[in-house]
Formats: sequence, structure tokens, C-alpha cells
Amino acid sequence: METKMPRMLKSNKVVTAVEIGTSKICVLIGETDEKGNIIVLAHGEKPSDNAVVKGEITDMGKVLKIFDAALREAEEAGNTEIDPNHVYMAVTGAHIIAYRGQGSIPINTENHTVRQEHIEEAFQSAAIISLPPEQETINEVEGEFFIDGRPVQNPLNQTGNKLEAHSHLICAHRNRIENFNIPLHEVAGVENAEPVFSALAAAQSVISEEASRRGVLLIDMGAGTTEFILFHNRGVFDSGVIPVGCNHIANDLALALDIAFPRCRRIINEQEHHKCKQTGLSFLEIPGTFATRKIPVDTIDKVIDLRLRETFELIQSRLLKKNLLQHIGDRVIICGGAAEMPETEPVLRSIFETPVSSIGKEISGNISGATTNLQTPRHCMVLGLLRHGLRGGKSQSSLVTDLDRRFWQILKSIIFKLKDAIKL
Amino acid sequence: MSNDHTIPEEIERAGETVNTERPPMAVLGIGGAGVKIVNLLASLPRSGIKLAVADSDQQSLDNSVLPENLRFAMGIEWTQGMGCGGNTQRGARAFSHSQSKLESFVKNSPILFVTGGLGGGTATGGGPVVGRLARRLSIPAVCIFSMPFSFEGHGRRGQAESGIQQLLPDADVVIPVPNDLLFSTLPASTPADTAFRKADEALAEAISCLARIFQCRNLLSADFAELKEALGKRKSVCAIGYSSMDAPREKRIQTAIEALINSPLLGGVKRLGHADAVVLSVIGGPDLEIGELKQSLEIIQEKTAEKCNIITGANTDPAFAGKISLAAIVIQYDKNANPIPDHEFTPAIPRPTLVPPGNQGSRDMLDQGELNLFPFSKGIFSGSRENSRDGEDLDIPTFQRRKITLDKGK
Repeated sequence: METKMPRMLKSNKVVTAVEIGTSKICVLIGETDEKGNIIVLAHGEKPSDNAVVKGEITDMGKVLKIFDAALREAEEAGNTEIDPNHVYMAVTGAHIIAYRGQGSIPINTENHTVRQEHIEEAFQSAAIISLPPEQETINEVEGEFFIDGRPVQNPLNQTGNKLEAHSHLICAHRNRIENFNIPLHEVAGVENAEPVFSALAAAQSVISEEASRRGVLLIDMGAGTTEFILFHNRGVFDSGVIPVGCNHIANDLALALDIAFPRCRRIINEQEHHKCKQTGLSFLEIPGTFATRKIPVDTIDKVIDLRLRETFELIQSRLLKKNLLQHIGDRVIICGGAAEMPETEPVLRSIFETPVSSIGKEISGNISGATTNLQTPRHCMVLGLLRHGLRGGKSQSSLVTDLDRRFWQILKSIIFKLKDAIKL
Repeated sequence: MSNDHTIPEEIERAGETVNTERPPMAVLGIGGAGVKIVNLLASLPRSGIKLAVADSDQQSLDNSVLPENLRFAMGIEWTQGMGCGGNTQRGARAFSHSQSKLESFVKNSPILFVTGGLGGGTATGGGPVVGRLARRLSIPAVCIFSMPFSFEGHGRRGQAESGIQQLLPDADVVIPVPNDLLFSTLPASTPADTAFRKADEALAEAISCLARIFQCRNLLSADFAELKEALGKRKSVCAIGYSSMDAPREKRIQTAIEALINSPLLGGVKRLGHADAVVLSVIGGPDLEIGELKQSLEIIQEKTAEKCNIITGANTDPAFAGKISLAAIVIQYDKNANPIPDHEFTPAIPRPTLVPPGNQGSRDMLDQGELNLFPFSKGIFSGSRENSRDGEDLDIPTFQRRKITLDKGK
């Protein structure tokens, strides 16, 4: 009771992070203490049972049931209820596309000094791009600023004639995002959960500000998809989704060795082939109906290596084409299920030729509470999502549509001009 | 002022102590040709290298000059020591079965050289296994393999080519040397025995020179990173030449370079002119002159094209007093395999894609499509939306798209 008292007295907001992933549906409820550290109040998790494929919901009925069970588990474990106004959900899938926005405004104030309003206005105009009707912007990340073409870290109170802002816009298919909203709405009565691109969420829990300034490539290889995001100098340079995940590795093994898919998942999850190598065995014995099969460990290695290499090379060649590889100044960080595989790090190191680290226990540095079973690379993303929520989410409300934004921008610029005219 | 005199000595001494303290580099000869090359290497003056051979053929292992504990019989339990009979899968299985034997030999060495002749079963199948073993132990691997003569037939050639394809992602540096180059310098009347021996000799010399480049590094350093940059992950055809001269000082550099250009596996001046990159190593005794260095580099530069990337390593070694030894690896990239010189690995085999059933109907009735003989399956993803990127369906296993045959075990 003693531990619960202060929480009840405080009017801290309780934030819920929801991941509807290919391998699991996970609900985390958390709040912050007076020092700003994160306290996980409850954790509910159920396997997705093939209702989500490659990051997208394929069986809504099943998802509703599983999400209900996971939510109930969380609420019962934490003896708390979710706050429908502060729910954040991770989204991914092949439909997610990143764009680079660019906007510039003239600085017409006295002495040509940049004010906070200018920064906001420049950023808002950088967030406006013409999208196909079925797409919407889900996340906007502030990028670099330029004053008269000169790059600046913080343009506030500097002088110049023109302020230019760059932003990284993550856009998604409207209907598929809506699909993620359905379970939240039906089961928990949540009206407007904020969608967050899962790589962006994962970055919140693993990338320090210092490292992001030097340049970090974060790769989150989950069961269904692989997301990547490149941070450099405060901003995001590139991000994307490769619709290939650990399930593809297991499927490749299943087809290569004629073994059932769940058995292959177990080989990967429990690293059975790696254990064989450690004990000096070069064959993995798999008991069958008639006889025990001896699978060469080397074949398993080869299949895993081919798939991992291909997936990471897709990311590498994309960054190479955009001339962004040299911005990985710090390291490549890997999280998600693949980070638990011993093969991933060496493959990444040989492709990107930079230091590579996989995220393990260090993620829960300033997180306390119900963190049992959360200190794994698999939960890195959902913890990051919780942190993102507790930091207040994104600056703009998800309710504001592009059209509204454009209207407000025009209105704001008129007011600005009027203000300046009156001063003159 | 006294410092001026002591500094070079200190550097030299420091260099020597570092060399002797370093663990030796490992050279592993695999397959029949590998055993022969390592035999020749054992007869060369060498320091800082340890040798071993691995083969699935007991008879070939018996020909090795190495002590018994450095001959590894691979998969001998079920090949009965009879070799792999040209079957790469048997080679791969033999090596993966017995790779723990190699582990203790390879472990802790700074670089692993793997050598042998591609086209057969043991080296072609076992090479990638050794490459992966080295990567698991975080040891950079340099694979120097001879490619079969064209007269040995298409099958062997194809097998060697696919061996290279499989080696590229696993080894850091792959140096394939076509045996056909022998014809460019040797007269047709050369005894076959001598010709084969010369090919093996050239490979042995190349390994010994490369090892020395990485070891000494005291004048002009060409290190592993440079070699990796020139050869890593790119399909190429290499030619190697070497020469060692003990002639009077005035003329020794000219004669050494002439001998280098005439070496049997270099393919003559013409090949040098078409090279994309050349790795040149000059090793001399403490009496090596700067003029000699300059001359040798200038001659090579003259003979190569302007765009050619020349990587030079020059070293002095007390063991070479009064001698000069040159070695060159002439690299020509396979332009068909990788037209854009980036770091992306693109195999030469056309990648298959799935044609959705709906599209097949729209084909011209008279246009007979290609019969898809390679089975493609998507397993658990067979019902899901197509996952295509750059014309490839990513849901199809990578090994199927790259047409890699795997050992399913028994």
C-alpha cells in the first residue's frame, strides 16, 4: 500500500503503449516519478498467433481477442486502468514511406532576428507535402535548420533573411493505420491513439542524444518486418521498412530442410544450432516419426546468413544510393528479435564496417517497476514507445489533418505579416 | 644529435619485436591442389606463418610434408578417405562435419590464408565452410584459389564459378587465379608436370609475399584493409607474378621486373595494361635502395593504364640481404557481374521472380514462356501479398533465388 499511495496522490498522467506486432501483442502502462524516471505499472503480453503478418493485421477477430486478453492481463497485473486519452500505438508495415520535407520563410522582423514563431512556422511549412489521398503523415521529426543557406543547430535569436527548415516525414496508408485503431477502439474505447512509427519508438529507448549527434543507424528486426532509422546531428536522415523479419528466416529454414515452421522458429529462438557448435557437434539431431534426422549445422548457418545479409544489404544499398552511409559516425544498433541471434552482429559489422551493438539489458537504465521480462531486445520498441508517450508524444496533435494545418499556416502568416506591417 | 642515430635502430628493433611477438598467420591448404601448394610453401624461406592441410582424400594427405598433427582428414569417417569425387556437397559436408578439427589451428591467428584448386569437390565445397568458420572466429580470411584449365571441361569450370559465388560473401578477400594464364607465357612443349608445378609455385609465392606484406610493413605499407577494399565482395579475375633476384646490384631491379612480367601466371604485359588494380610488393634486404623502389614502381606504372589502382607494399627484411623479391597481384574486375563499382554484392546469375497467375493469361498465345525448372515456394507466406523489391519476391527464400544447393542432412 505504501508504494501505491504516492502514485494515487499525484496527478501524474498514466500512459499506455500498445504494440500489435507479428510475434506478440503487448500492452505497457507506465508513468513518471518526480525525477522524470519511468515506472512501468503493468505489462500484458500475448502471442499474436498468426493474426498479424509482416506487421499488418490479417485476422481482425483474432487480434481483438488477443488484444483484449493482453489488456486485461496488464490491467489486472498493475491494478490500474488505462487512460484512453494517452494511448500510443506502434505502427509498421511495407506501406510506410518516409519523405523529406523542406520549408522556408522570410524573416521580416526588426533586426531580422529569428523568433520561436519563425521556427515553428518554418517547421510547419516543411511538414507540408502533397501526398496521395490514401496516405497521411503519422510522424514529423524536426531536422536541420539553415539561415541564408548556412546550417545552424538552433536558429533562435540568430539574424538572417531567410529561415529554412528540413523535416523527416513518415507517411502511412490511411486505412491500414485505421486497422490498428480498431482493436483499441473496440476493446478499450480509445478514440484517438497516437500512431508512432516503430523504429522511431525504438530509438527513444536506445539512442542517446550524444550518439544521435554523431550518427546512429538503428535496425529493428522483428518477427515480420525490419525497420531502420538513421539519426545524424539531431535530425532523422532516413527511415524505412523492409518487409522481411525473423519469420522469413524460419520459413527459409523450413523450406530448405523440410522441417515444420514452428520447429524452425524454435531452432532460431533457442539457438539450438549454436549450442551444437559450442559442444563441438556439427549436426543438429531432429527426431522424426521414423528416424532421427541429422541436419548439418553449417546448412542452418548458411540459410540464416543469406537472409540476414540480403536484408541488411537492402538497407545498406538504399543508404548508399542516397549517399548517407558516411553519416553513421557512431555505430549501428540492432534490436528486435534478431538482436538475440549470435549471427546478426558479425553480419552487420561486415556489411556496414562500423561498430555494432545489440541492445540488451542496458535499456532499462532509468526504468523501474514491473520490468521483469522486459529487459530484452524484443521489448526495446514498446519501452521506447512508452517513453515517447511519457515525454508528451509529438508536438502536433494527430487530429490536425493536412488541410487544417495548411489553413492554420495561411492564417498565421497573415497575422505575422499584419504584425510586421503595424510595427513598420 | 645522438638521437638521430638511435631512432632508426629503435624503430627497427621495435618492428622486429612486434613481429616475433605476433601469433603466426595461418595458411590452410584444402583439397589435392591445396596440399601440393602447401608442400611448396613449406620449402620456401618463411617466418611467421604456420601451415596445415585439410583434405577428404587420405592418399593426398599422405603426400604432405607436414607433420601428422597438421594434416586434417576431413569427413574421413564416411568418405573412407577416398575423397569427394568432385561432389561439392560431399565436400561441404565433410568440412562442416570436421570443422572443429580446424578450429584449434585457425584460432588466434591474425589472418587466415586458404588455398587450393577450385573445380573439384573438396576445395569448392569446403572453401565456404572454412570462410564461415573464420568469420565466426573474427579472423580475416584471404582465399587464393586456382581456377581449372578450360580443357578440363565446362562442368568443372561451372563448379569453380559457383564456388567463387559462394565464397564471396563468406571470405573477406577472394583471389581466383585462372590456370589458363599459363598458356600465355609457357611454350606448348613444356612438360605438363612442370606446367602444373609452376602454377602451384606461383600460388605458393603469392601467399608468402602477401604474408610478408602484412607482417613487416616497415617502408610503404599496404595493409589488409587496402587489399580488402580492392578485392572484397567483388567478383574479379586475378593474375599473380613473382620474381626473386640475387643478381649484382646495378641490374638486379630491371632483371627482377622482367622476370616478374614473364612469370607464368601473370599473363604478360598485355594483361597488366588491362588491369583495374595491381597489388605490388617489393621486399629487399637492408641494402634496398630508394632508387630501386622508385624504378620498380615507375615501370609498373608505365605498363598499367592510367585509371589502374596501384597498391604498393615495400619492406625490408634481414633475411633478404643482397636479394630483391617482387610479387604482383593483377586484378581485373568482372564487369558483367557487377557493372557499378559499389560495395553491393550482386551475383551474376539472373534472379528469378514469381509471375503472378493473373499476368500469365495476358501473354501472347504464340509466345512460349520459359519452363520454370527451379521449384520456388513461399511456405507460410504463400497466401500473403507479394513482397517484391527490385524485381525479386523477398518472400521466396534467398537460397532459392540465388540457386544455392544446400545439404539437407540425412
